[in-house]
Amino acid sequence: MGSPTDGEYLLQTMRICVDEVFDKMVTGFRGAAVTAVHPIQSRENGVIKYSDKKSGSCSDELYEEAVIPFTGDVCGQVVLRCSGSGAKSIARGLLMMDESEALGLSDVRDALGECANMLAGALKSKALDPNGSFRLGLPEFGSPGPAGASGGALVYRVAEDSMSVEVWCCDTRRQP
Amino acid sequence: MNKILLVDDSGTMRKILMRVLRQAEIDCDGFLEASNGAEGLEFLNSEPGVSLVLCDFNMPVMNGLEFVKSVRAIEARKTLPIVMVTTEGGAEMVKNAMDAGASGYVTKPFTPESIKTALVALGK
Repeated sequence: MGSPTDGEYLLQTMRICVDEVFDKMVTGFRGAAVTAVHPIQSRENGVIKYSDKKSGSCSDELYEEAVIPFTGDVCGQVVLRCSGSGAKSIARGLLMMDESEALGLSDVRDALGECANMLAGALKSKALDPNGSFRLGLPEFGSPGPAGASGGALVYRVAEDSMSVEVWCCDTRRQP
Repeated sequence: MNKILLVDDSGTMRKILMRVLRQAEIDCDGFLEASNGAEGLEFLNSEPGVSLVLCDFNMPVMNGLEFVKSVRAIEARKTLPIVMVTTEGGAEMVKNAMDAGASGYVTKPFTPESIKTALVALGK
């Protein structure tokens, strides 16, 4: 098991977690392709865009987000972001709903929160939790990332939409 | 009556579980939904027909572990099957839940098959 404060290790593990969660729970999203790792992100009026320095490609505007904080020897958060249509696609995939079934904003937000919760839980099991000492928080929306944290973002192209999964981690043992 | 009580603060997860249980053709006369352990306990006190509980771990107000302990403290509910369905997959968390009286444990993300396997093991 690598160090949870190693950003590269966290991202590699999160990539496995995304595959696991989406393969098992979100129909229609199997085989989603990562298009950028360690992207540069910009935030303008609450809208996030990721640019890949290497390829120069840019993601869609992502503004729906769910944040799961975690605490333990290290603290941090997992953030799931997507475009509006991407959020609906994820919610429909998670709920096994077809296009004819109505989907409200609260359903979409709750589905994103649950998806982020499963991603954080999988990360906790695989990368953070050798001793069972970590605690996951309840889903939040619109929380800023922790300053000085290690980690990064994975950006996925899913069907016609974009989605990003960020993981950020701080070592609380170093703090006085 | 043969009702299944779903205790999870996520409405999405309760809907997913209902769909999975229907697809798995688990014998059931209906579902009751609670968004935390305290609401779940209220259902158990007011609804006599609950034959199975699926319960999350992390919830506001009363978490899943406290819920299981509270249910097992009720004499008439000591053998009620309670399956934890949770993102908490650590060995210590599983042990805590089973020691508290949980009957089974399924880690999210799950497949419909893993839910069915856990319920078949309980004779459902």
